[in-house]
Amino acid sequence: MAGPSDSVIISARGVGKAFSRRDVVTALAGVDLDIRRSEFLCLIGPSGCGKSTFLYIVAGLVSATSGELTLDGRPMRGPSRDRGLIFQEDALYPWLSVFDNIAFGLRLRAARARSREEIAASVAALIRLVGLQGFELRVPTELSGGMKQRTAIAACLATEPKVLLMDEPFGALDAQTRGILQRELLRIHETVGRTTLFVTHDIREAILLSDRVAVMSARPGTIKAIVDVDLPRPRWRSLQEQDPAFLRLERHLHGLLDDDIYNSSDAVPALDTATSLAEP
Amino acid sequence: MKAGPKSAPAIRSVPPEADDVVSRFLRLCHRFRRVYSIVLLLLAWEVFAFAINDPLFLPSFIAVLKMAWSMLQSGQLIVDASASLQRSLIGFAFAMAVGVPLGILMGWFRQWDDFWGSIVSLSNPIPKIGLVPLFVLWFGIGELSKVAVIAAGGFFPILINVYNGVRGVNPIWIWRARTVGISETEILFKVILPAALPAMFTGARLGMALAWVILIAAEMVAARSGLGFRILYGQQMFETEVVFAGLLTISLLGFLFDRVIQALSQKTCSWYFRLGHQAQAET
Repeated sequence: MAGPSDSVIISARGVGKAFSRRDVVTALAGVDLDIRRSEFLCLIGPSGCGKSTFLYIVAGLVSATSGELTLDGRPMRGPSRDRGLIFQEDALYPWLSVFDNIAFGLRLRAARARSREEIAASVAALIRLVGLQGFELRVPTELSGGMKQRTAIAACLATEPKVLLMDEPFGALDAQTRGILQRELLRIHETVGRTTLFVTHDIREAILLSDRVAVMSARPGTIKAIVDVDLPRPRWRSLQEQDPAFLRLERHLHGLLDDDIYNSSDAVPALDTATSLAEP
Repeated sequence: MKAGPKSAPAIRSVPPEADDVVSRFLRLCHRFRRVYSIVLLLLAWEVFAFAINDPLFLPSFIAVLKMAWSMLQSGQLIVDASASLQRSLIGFAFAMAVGVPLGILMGWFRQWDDFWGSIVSLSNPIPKIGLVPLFVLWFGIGELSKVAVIAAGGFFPILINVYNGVRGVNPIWIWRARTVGISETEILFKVILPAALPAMFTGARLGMALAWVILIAAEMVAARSGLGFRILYGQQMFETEVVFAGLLTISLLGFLFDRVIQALSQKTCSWYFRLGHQAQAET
């Protein structure tokens, strides 16, 4: 996978991040990762492995201390409309309605003077896509957590970024809503087909959503392995999490993560029985 | 202000649709729940005034009202109140005109904070009433010295609140704006200003209240009109009713202005008050 190829949209070479407080803490040590055009790539790893830091570096909001990142072969500098970011917690503007939150990026100068009708039409289409019809005029405080993240996804898609970056967007939701939104995201991805880099610590979520899963190791964070998820698409209607192929992948990823989890400082091995129960 | 008392437990037990005499009476009582303390205070005042029987020390509230009414009829109170109003509003407008932009610039640009921060920290603790003699020296005993003192007093709470409001903007809101390609001026107008608006209103409320306090003091030191002057005049003439009538007018006007600013902030920052209620409901 060395060297830029046509199918690669974002390429990271030796991306590192060190914080210097009292002593230097290396959060990321040389991450090499190619993100292919229109693929769904999940980044998983134990907490504190720097996966979110890497995502923020790709978004351009955090600067790397070493290495280089390119988008379509050109080096990236700072944040831009090319890369849309969806945050873990709600980042909607509470003073704007659902409609205005989604239209926010379309009304900027960077959107190059789109007419009122054009904006209304694209926002309406996005509202249909994420299933928020009837909630256009609600403000974020009147929305449930799931609806907030639907709005955030629509707002992010509005500016038509080349790459979607998602930082554990369903982490704060209850299990049931998370399940619904995972399927919704699958459906949206399988409809829109946009390159997505998705950070999570949930192995099942990663398998369900992605084409490939990149596993990170902790402190300092590096890419430890990349696992292909060869489950057929479209999945949003049909994929079962009891599917043998799914379970095999889950076991494999658990195995990859476990060494690191047991080595991390806040591991409680006795409680982590999920893996052993999954064994036949 | 409006939402809290709705849950007063005493009246909650009365179903709103009940139409018997008792529950109607209870509802009526509930409606005036915020007035009882004032009525009680005035009653105590009357009793005290009657017991002491020394109008020079404490005139009865009725006598104060009568004096206020006659001052209103003679036009005296109007002249004084409008003189004070004019000064406080002009001074307040100056304080806003300087405090809001400077607060935004200091909150947003590190260099502005570095340059102005120490001057602000050093001049804020100076009691602004202490500036009255200086301003009289500089600007004479005319309107300018009073307006300047009020502006100086209102300026600091406005500045500090706007500054804190800008500094306290959720960084995620700024990050999100940056990932959709927002320009620096657009960040200011589309993210920072709306997000900091509630803090600006807090600054305006505090600034307005302080403007009144300082105004009255300034008018006592050097003025020929205004409510502060009238109060001092009443004291010198041994007309305690006039003193109280002046204080009453100040209290009412100050209350009125606070309410106007509060209503404006609830209208323009309704999202902020909803956030507060949500937090309350969740705890």
